[in-house]
Amino acid sequence: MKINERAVRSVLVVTLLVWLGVSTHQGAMADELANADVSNVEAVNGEAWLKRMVNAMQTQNYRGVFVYSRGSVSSSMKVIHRYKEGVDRERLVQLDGEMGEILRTGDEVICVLPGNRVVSLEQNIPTGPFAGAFSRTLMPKKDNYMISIKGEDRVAGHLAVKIAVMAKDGYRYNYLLWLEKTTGLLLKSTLIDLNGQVLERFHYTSLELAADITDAELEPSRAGEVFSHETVPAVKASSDWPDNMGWKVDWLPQGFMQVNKVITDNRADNGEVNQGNIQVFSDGLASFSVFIEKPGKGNMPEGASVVGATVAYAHRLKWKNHDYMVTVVGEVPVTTAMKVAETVVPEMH
Amino acid sequence: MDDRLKESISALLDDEGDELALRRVVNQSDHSEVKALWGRYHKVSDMLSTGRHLQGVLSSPRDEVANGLINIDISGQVSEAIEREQMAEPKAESMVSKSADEPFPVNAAKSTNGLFFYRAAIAAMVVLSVLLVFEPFGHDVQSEQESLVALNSSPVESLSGSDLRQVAEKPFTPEHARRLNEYLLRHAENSVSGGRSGVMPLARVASFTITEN
Repeated sequence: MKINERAVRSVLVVTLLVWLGVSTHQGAMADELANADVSNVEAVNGEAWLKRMVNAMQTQNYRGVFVYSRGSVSSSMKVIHRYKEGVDRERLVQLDGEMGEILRTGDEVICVLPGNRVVSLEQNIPTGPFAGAFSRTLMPKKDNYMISIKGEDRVAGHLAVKIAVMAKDGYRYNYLLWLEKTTGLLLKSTLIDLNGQVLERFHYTSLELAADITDAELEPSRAGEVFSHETVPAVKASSDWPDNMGWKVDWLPQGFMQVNKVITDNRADNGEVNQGNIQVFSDGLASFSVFIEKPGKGNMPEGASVVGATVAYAHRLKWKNHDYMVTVVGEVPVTTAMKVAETVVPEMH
Repeated sequence: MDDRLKESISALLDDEGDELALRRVVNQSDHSEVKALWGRYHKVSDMLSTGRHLQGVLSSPRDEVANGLINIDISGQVSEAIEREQMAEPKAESMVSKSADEPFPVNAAKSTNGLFFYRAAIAAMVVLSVLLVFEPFGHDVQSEQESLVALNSSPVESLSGSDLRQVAEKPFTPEHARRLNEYLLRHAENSVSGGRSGVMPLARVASFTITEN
């Protein structure tokens, strides 16, 4: 009851202030876009371009070098992407500082960190009708974003179309996207907060659309050497979790839909079955994951941790004398993560 | 706390409060809930207007210290300020600001009653703004700097006000970074589903994972 009251109070406060905030911050965003060519605003075509982008990012083959920056931190990385027989593979190689790589095959991600440490994620089995299917087709909607073409540009030697995707409320960020003109591939992007402040930039400095990517290019560069392996466990599970207990996110910003749901079900050595819960939401452009698990040593401190455009908001929830940890992680404003985290409620089936 | 009181607080923060709203808030200003709400509204408002993320918004109202409300007695100081105003009332008609508590010239044309509330509003603002001096995450802290911050509340509790700003935005502890890294990886994995998001989720995680490990 106490939790609900607090959640409701937070919702009221934040709703009011986000609304107030948005009305005053669109001006800053307008400034950011002032330099863009606005003579060719065609919202419908803007949406069509986003569809092309999503398709291109899955199916194009390419190799290139890009710079990713957040605040004063920037890294240049080499990327190789191949789509073959329905499976897309990707390899990212860190070019600055110590060597590190990230390899992806389909939905499976492996990191090779300095010192040849290989970190992989314990595989989760999605449940329900989701299994990533929605996230493959969900597109940003006009209800939530103002999508418009802002003219043409040139990025990394390629002709590009510049698209502005501006949030219509304060629960999501704004994006400027530069898409390669012939394929729709993302060449450059800028993520901007409500105040017009740039939180992250992504920018190809060279890009080659290539059809000849070999298996060898997609293998880690230190293949053959000795690696140490670590596995990131699925969410920390809870034995305080009755079998018929589920979790519901009671509030979502307009346009966000659940695109995936995972219930981890680990059997401990003593035979005890522990459960954890991960739910993923997207509005077609922004996404966040909600982790619900048992609190324990090494939990994130309560409150928000921010890395560039990504926030992780940790909230302790008490229910029937048991504590649960709700952590919302995503590319959304802190306010959104906080509201979502504070409105997670247990649901008995 | 009823909705009218909340609306009044919100209105005062937006400079839209009338005398009635002010009276409503001042009358209730010794209630901790009102103090907490005032602080919370202020921070959310500030966060939205500056684009920065203030910790007070992020933790629940139960923790007054972490919220930046360092047990400053609002009601006492507001009452004191009002008392001073009442004593000064006879010469108020021609008075302009002289002390730190009276930062603005006072409109001499205001009615005595209006003046009272106007000044009380200023006093309340001044007193309440004192709270914001101790804001754990102040206005002038990095913006173009590294946008990697930990906004957790726990370490703040044991510190005095003057220390708060220094710990406002701090590097992650190794344990915190490790845990955060796991969440970022998991979230990236969730986001790459089907490859529709392209290289972005992985670029984000690489930028943190490889640098911090």
